[in-house]
Amino acid sequence: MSGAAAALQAAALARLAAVAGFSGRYDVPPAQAAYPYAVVEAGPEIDWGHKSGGGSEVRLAVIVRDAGERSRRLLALLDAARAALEEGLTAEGWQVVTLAWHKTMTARVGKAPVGADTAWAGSVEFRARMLKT
Amino acid sequence: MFEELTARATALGEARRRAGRARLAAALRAEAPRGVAVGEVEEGVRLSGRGLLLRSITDPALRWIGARAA
Repeated sequence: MSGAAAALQAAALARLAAVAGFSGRYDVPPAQAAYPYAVVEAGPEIDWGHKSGGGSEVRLAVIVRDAGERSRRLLALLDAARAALEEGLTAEGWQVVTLAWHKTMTARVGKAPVGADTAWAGSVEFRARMLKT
Repeated sequence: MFEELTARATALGEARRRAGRARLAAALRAEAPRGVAVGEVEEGVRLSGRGLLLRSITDPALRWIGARAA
């Protein structure tokens, strides 16, 4: 992972720390964690530099895992995560020029046994354009 | 008056569209995780497989596949 992606991931994790409702926030999927939890992942990165400075376009995703009869809490957490990240995210060593929401998706994880909570997964994805400071 | 020219331009455009679609499909095939098929359809390229919605959330190889190929 490059400097831009790592800085963006760290900034997003720090921002999510202020979002209530998660049992934990991770930079990689945890082996064991209580629901609901969030994983912040930086994806592919492409050049966004100009003639006198470096820049990167980075994809960012927040993946939320939860369990419950319905997906209502998952949707609320995805909305809260999106709102938190869209509120002027700053990354160390980089200027986040734009952080554009790309998409939000949710899905049920398999079929729960009778009496058990259904597991849910959701993601909110962004495209960030950053300039090196 | 321009029928021949129009027909030739249309054919060239169509050939270019098909070539672009084939290039995109090849790039996606190279990155598609196991169990995901990439096919060319009239509208473009179609990914198919079991549980694609859930996998596109939980599997990074599938989540970023479009971004990498773009």
